[in-house]
Amino acid sequence: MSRKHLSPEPQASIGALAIQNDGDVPADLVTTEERVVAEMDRRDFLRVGGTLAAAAAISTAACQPPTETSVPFNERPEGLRTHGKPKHYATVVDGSPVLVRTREGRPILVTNNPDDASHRGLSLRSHAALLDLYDPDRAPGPYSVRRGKGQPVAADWQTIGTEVVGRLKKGGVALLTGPVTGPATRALIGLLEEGLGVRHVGWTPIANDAAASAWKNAFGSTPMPRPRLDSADLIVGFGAEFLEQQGLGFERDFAKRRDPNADLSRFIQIEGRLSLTGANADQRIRARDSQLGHIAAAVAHSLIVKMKLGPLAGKDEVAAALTGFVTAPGVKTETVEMLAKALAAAGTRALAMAGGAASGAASGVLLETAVALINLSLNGYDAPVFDRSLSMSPTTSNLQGLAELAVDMRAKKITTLIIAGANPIYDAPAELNFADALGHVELIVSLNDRIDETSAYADYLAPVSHVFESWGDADLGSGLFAVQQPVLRPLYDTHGLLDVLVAWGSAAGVTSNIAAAKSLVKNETTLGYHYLRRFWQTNLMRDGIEWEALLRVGEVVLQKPEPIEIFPPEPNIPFELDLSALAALNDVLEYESAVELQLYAHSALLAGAAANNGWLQELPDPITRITWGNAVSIAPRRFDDLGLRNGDLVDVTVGETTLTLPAYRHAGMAHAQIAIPFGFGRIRAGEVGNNIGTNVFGLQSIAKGRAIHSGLAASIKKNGGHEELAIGQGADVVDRVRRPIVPLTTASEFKSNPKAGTEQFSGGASAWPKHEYKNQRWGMAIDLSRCIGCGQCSIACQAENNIPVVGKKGIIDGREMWWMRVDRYYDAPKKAGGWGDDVYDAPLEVVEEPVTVFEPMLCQHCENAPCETVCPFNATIHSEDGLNQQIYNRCVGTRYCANNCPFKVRRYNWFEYSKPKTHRFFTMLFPELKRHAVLNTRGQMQLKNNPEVTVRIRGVMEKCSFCVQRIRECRAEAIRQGKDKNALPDGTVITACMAACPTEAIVFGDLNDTSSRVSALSKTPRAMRLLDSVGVQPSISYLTKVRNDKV
Amino acid sequence: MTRSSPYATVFDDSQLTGRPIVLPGSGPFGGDEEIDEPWVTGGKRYVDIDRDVCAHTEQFPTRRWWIAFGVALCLLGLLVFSLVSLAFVGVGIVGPNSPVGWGTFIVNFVFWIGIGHAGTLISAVLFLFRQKWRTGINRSAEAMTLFAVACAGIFPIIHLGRLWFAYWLVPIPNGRGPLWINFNSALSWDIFAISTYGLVSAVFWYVGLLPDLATVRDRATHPWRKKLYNVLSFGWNGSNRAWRHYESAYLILAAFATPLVFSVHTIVSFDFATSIVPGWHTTIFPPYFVIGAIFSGFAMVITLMTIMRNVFNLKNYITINHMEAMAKIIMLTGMLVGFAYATEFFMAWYSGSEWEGFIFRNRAFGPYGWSYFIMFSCNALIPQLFWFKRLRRNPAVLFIIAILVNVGMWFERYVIVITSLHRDFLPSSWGMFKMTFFDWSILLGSFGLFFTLFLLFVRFLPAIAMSEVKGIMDPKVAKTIVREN
Repeated sequence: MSRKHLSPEPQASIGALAIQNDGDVPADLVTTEERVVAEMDRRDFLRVGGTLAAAAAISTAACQPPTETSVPFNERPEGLRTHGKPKHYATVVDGSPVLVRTREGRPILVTNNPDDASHRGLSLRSHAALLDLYDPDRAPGPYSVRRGKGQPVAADWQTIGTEVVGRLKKGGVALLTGPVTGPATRALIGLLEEGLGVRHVGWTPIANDAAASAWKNAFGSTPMPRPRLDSADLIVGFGAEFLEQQGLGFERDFAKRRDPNADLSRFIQIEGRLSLTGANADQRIRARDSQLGHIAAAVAHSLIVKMKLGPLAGKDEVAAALTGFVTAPGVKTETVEMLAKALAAAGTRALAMAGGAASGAASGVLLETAVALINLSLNGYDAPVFDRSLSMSPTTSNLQGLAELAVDMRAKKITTLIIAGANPIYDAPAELNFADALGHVELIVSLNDRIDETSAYADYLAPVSHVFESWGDADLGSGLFAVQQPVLRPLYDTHGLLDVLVAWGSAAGVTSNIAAAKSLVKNETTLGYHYLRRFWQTNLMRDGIEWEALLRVGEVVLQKPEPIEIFPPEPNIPFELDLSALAALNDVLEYESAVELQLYAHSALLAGAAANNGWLQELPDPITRITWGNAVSIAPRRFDDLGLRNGDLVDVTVGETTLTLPAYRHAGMAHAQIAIPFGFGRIRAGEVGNNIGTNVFGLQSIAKGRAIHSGLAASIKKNGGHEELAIGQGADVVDRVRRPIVPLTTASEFKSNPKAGTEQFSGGASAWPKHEYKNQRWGMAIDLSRCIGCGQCSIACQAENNIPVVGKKGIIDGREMWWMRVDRYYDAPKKAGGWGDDVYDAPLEVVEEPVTVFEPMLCQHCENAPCETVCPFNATIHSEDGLNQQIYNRCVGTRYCANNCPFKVRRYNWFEYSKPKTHRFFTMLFPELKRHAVLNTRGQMQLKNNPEVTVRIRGVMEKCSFCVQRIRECRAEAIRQGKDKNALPDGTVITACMAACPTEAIVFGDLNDTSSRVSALSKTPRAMRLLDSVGVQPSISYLTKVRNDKV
Repeated sequence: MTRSSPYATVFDDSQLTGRPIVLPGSGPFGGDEEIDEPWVTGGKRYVDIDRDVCAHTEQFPTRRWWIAFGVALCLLGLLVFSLVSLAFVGVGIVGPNSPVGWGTFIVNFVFWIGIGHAGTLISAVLFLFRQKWRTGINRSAEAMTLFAVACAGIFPIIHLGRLWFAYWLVPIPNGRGPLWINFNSALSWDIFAISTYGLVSAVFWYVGLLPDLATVRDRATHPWRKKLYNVLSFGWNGSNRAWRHYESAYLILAAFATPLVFSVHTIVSFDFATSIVPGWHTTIFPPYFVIGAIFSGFAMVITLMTIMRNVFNLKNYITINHMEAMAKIIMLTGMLVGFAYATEFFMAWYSGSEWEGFIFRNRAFGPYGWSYFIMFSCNALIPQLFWFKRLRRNPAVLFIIAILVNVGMWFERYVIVITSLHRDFLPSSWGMFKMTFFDWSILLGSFGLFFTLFLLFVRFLPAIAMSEVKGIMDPKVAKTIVREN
C-alpha cells in the first residue's frame, strides 16, 4: 500500500473521540435538532441537498463530524464521565450481543451482555473482534485499486460516490454481501433492489445447504423450530457440530444437562472426524461422512418401519422409500438397532442432530432428511426437545445466487458490482471461476475493510468501518433484534455500511424511507444512524421503549412470534437423492490409498474472514491443538501405516487438484476419512494472516446447486517433506492410573461412589506453616462435566490481561504466553501396566476410540506454592487473600519458578513483545523480532491494552493473577460505597475466564465465605485438587467429568 | 651412582614403570624397601627447574602459543558477540522454553563449576594427604579452577531475563524497597557458595605462587620486570621466617579449602535437589554432584597437562606417573558416578513414585535417550579401560578418554537439566529442547574465555609450583652435577 494513515495521529483521533463519546449529548438536544430538520419539506431538502448529494456523497476529509449519540450501558451516574473508570456499550458483533468495555474512549474488552435475552453467548470471533478494530492492515481510507495493476493509490469517497451513483442510476448493478441479518440493513437493501433494480446476492461460504434443502423438500417453507438440547434425555448426533461454533446458545443448553447430580443427558455421536462436539459425546461411533446418511436412514427405517413409531408409521410410500436402508455400510446392524432402541426408549425426549461438515457431503441431503424423519417420528418437532416458538432455520450459502451472478457478469448483464463483506475470490468453489467473471464487469467497488483477495480485483476500495465504529443491527433469532452501536469514532477514513448505502442510494434517487432518513440530517456521515433509528422506531420498537433505553440494553424483543404451525401431515420425502454419488465413492474407496476428504469450518477462524487476527490464529484448535495453520487430519492407523510423523507433508489429490499439506495424526478418525479445515491460506488478509496454512475452498465441487465439501474422493501420498506444526500441547494421552491429574468417571461409577475419578496418590505432610487467611481466600472451581473445551476462556484472558501473541515460531519453540490454556487429553484405558509400560506415545488402542477430556489449566494459586520458595528475588509471594502474586518489577527472570511449577502455567517473556525492536542489525539477525512487532505492536495495536494490567517487559515471568485487577477494583468500589471490602457478596468479582465461559463451568469466589458457590463446589465429593502427592494444595478444584455410560 | 639415589638414572617416561622401585635389603629391618619412582625425571637439578619453568615467561611466545591464543581469542570474541546479542534481544535467542526453563546456561554453569573442583582437591586435599605427586600439577590445576569458576560465574548472570539487575541477588542493605533476597531459595545459596569458593581458591592459589613469583623476579633482567614481580611476590625474601609463615598459611588455607571442595557442589546440587521436579528432587544429588565434579575436574587436568607436557616440554616434571595417578582417580570416581546412576534408577523404581519412575525411564529410553547413552558410556563405561595399566600409561589414550569424560560430564548435566524438565507432571505441558546457534556459540565461547585465561597464565606465571617440586626432589640428585653443562 502506498499510503499508511490518512487520518491524523491515531492517538489524537482517539482523544477527540473520547470527548465525543464521553460527553454524551443530552437526549433532548438530539430530538430538538431532529424536529427542526424534520420540518423541512421534501422540496426544501431536494433543493439543498440535491446538487450536493451525488458529489459530496460521503466526505469527511475536511471536517470531523459529530458522532451521533451512542448510549453506554446503564451502570453509572447518568451523563457523568469518570476518568479511569471503564464504560460499557451494548452492541452486537458476529451475531453475538455483547458489551464492549472502553477506557478513556477506547475499547479494551468484549464481554457478554448480562441483559441479553437471547442467551446465545459469544463466539470466539466476537471476543477477538477487539483486535480486528486495531488491525493496522485495515485500509486507512479509500483506494483506487485499479484491478490489482500496479500499486493502489489513494482515492476519495467523493469520486467513488459520484461514479457509483451514476451507475446506480443507469442500472445493471449488483450488490454482493456476506450474510445480512439486521432488519434495517435488509430493508435498506430491499429498497435498493426495489428502487434501483440492484441485484442483491448474499454469499456465505460455509453453510448447511443440505439441511435447508432437505427441510424445504420435506416441510416446505415452514421455519425449522429450535432444538432444545437442555430438554433432551438422549441426543444422537450424526456428524453434528453444535458445539463447534459458539454464540448460538447450544453449548449453554448442552451443559445444563451435564450435571451428574441431576438428570444427566446422554449424547451419542456418529462421525468421521473427532470434532469438538464428538469429543463431548458420551459414546462415539466412527463412520465416514458419506455413510452417515445411510446410517441415519437405517435408524429411521428401524424406527418407522420396524417399530412403527410416529406419524409416518404404516405409510407405504415411506416404507417403500426406506426399504433400501435396512442395513447401513460402515457400522454393524447391532449398532443401528442399538441407536434405534435408545431413541425409541427416550421417546419424545430424544433428539437427532446433524448439521456438521458431514452434511456437506453429496449424501448430505439424505442425512438431513433421515434426521428429520427420526425427529418427526420421535418427537414430532415439538416440545420438549424442539421449541416451536423459536425458529432456527439452517443457514444457506446462496451458491446458486452467486453462480447466477457470475453468469450474468459474464453476460454483461451486470455492469457494476458492489462487494460488501464477501470474499468470493478466496472462498467460492473453484468451478465458478469468479475471478474470470469479475473481468467482465465494468466497475467493481469493494466495501471490504482491506484490499483482500476479492478487493484486489476491484476498481475501488471504499472501506467500511469496523462494527465498533458504525451503526447497524442484527437479528438474534427468536424474535429478538439487536442494535449495533458504535463505541468509538472511526479510527480511519472509513464509513459504516449503512452510511454508504443510504448515501449512495438516496443520491441515486431512492426515496421512501431513505429519503426520510436523509431529510433528517445536515451531515451525510450520519445518514446510516438516522435511517436506522427511523427504521427501528417505525418498525421494531414497541410503544414505550425509548431509543436511549434501547441502546443501553442493546436489543429489543418483539412480540413473540406465533408458534410455528405443525408441518404438512405428509411430508414429501425425496429418497431418490444422491445415492449414485455415494455408490461412486464406495467404488473409489475400494482402493487402499483412496480416502474421503472432509473440509470443515475451523473453530476459531470459521471461513477465514478474521484470518488477520493473531488471537484467533494462535488459539489452538480444540482437538488437534494446531495453531497457525491447517493440516490434513489422518486416522491414526492409516497415519502409522503411511509411516508419517506429525508435520510430514502429504499430497492430497481431489480430482485434478493436488495440494500439499502437513499431516496430523487425528485421534478417533474413521479409517477412510481425512479432513482439512477451511479458513487458512489467505494471501491478502494482512501481515498477520497472509500465507498461513493452505486454502482448501478450491477443493469443493458443485453438485445439484450445493457446494460439496465433504465425502470428496481423495487420495493421499507421502510427499517426503516436513513442515513443523505449531502445536503447543505436549503429549495427548493421560494414564490416570499413573497420573491421576484429571477427574473423570462414568455415571454408574459415580452413582456408587460420588468420589469416583478423583482418586490420587496421597501426599506427605508439609513442613511449611499454613497461611492464615483472615478475610478472603480466593479460589476457583472448574466443572469438567460442563467444560466443552471451546477455548473462550483463553481468548478472554488474552484480551483482559494484555497477553502477547508469539507467532508460529514462538509456539513451535515452546514460547507460548497463554495464562489460561485448555488441555485436551485422551484417557488411556485403565489397566495395571508394568514398569515401563507407557502410553504417552499415543498407541492405537487409546487414540482409535478416544475418550476425550478437557481440562482448563491456569495458575492454581497453590497453598504451598513451589514457585514461591525457589525465587531468589522474592518476586513471587503469597498474598493474604490466597493469591500467588507475581511482582513484575521485582522479577529478574531466573525461571526457577517455572521449572518448579508442576502445572507449567508460568509464562516467560523471552523477547520484548511489548515494544517494537527495530535495531537494524538485530532484526536482520533475528527476523522473529519483526514478526513480534507485526503481531503485537504495529500501528495502534497497543491501544487494545487494558490499562489496569501491567504490560510486561522482557525477561520477567508472568502468569494468571486470578484477575487481581478486578478483585482490587471491587474492593476499592466497596470502600467507596462504605461497604465491607472483606465481605464482598458472592459473584461480585468475576474473572475474565469465568465471564467468558459459555457453559458456566468456571466459578470464582471466596473460599472463606461458606455461602459462596465456589466453597460449596470445592467441598463436593466431585472436587479434586490436583497433585496431592506433591503437596502443593491448589486453590482450584476440578469437578469430575462424568460420562453417561447408561446403555 | 650411589645406592641411595636410584632416581639419578631415570631420564624420561620410558624408564618409568609405574611400580615402586624395590631396594633389596635397605628396609629398616633389613628387608626390601619400596620407594616411589621419581616424580621428577631427567636428573634435574634445582636450577634446571627454575630455568625450565620460568623460561616460558621470559622468552617471546612460540608460534604454537600464538596459534592457540589466536583460536582462543576468536572463541572469546564469539562469546562477547553472543552475550551482546543476548543482552540486547533477550533470552529468547537461546534454547530454553516452556517447559524447559533452564537450558545450556545452567548445564554449562554446573559443568564449569565441576571442572573447578579438581584444582582445589589437588592442592588442598592431596596436600593434606601428603601426596607428593600433586606438586607437578597443582599450580595449573588451581589456575584451571579459577578460570573454570570465572567461566561458570558468567552463566547464572547471563541466564537471567534482566541481567542488568543481577546485583539484586546480593544481600546488601539498599534503598530499593528495601529489596531483600529470599533465603529459602537455593539460588541465593549459590551466591555464597560460589563467591566463597572463588575467593578462597584465588587466595590459596596466590599464596602458593608467592615463592615462585620471587624466583621469576630473581631471574628477571629487565628492571621493570623485576619491579613488577617483586610487587606481585609481596617482596618475598626467602627467609626462614617467611618460609615458616608461608607454610603455616598454606596449611591453614588447605584446611579451609578442603570442606569447600565438598560444599560448593553440594550447594549447586541443591539448586536441583530442593525443587519438586521429578529427577531433581533426590537426596543423592550432593555426593553424586561432588563425585561427578572431581571426576570431570581430573579429566580436565589430564587434558591440560597432556597439552602442557608436550607444548612446553615439561615431561620431566609432569611424568607419566602423574598421569597414571590421575587416571586411577578418574577410574574410581567414574565407578562412583556409575554407581550413582544405578542408584538413581533403583530408587526411582523402589520409591514406587510414578513421577520419579517415569522420568528415569524417559531419561534412558525417551527422546533424549541418546544423551543418556553418551553420558553413561562416557562416564561409567569408557573409564573402565583404565583397569589396564598399559592404557593408563598411554598419553594418547589418556587424552582421548579425558576428553570423552568431559563430554560425558557435560551431557550428565544436560541429562539432568533437560530431561527432567521436558516431561514433568502434566503431559500437556511436555515439550522438547533444541539448542540454537547461540547455545553453541556461548558454550564454545566459554572455552574461548577459559583457554585465553589459561594461555595468559602459562605465559606470565610459572605454570609449575617450582618451590614445591624442589621439596619432593631427591636432594642427592638435585644438588649433584649429573651432566656437564
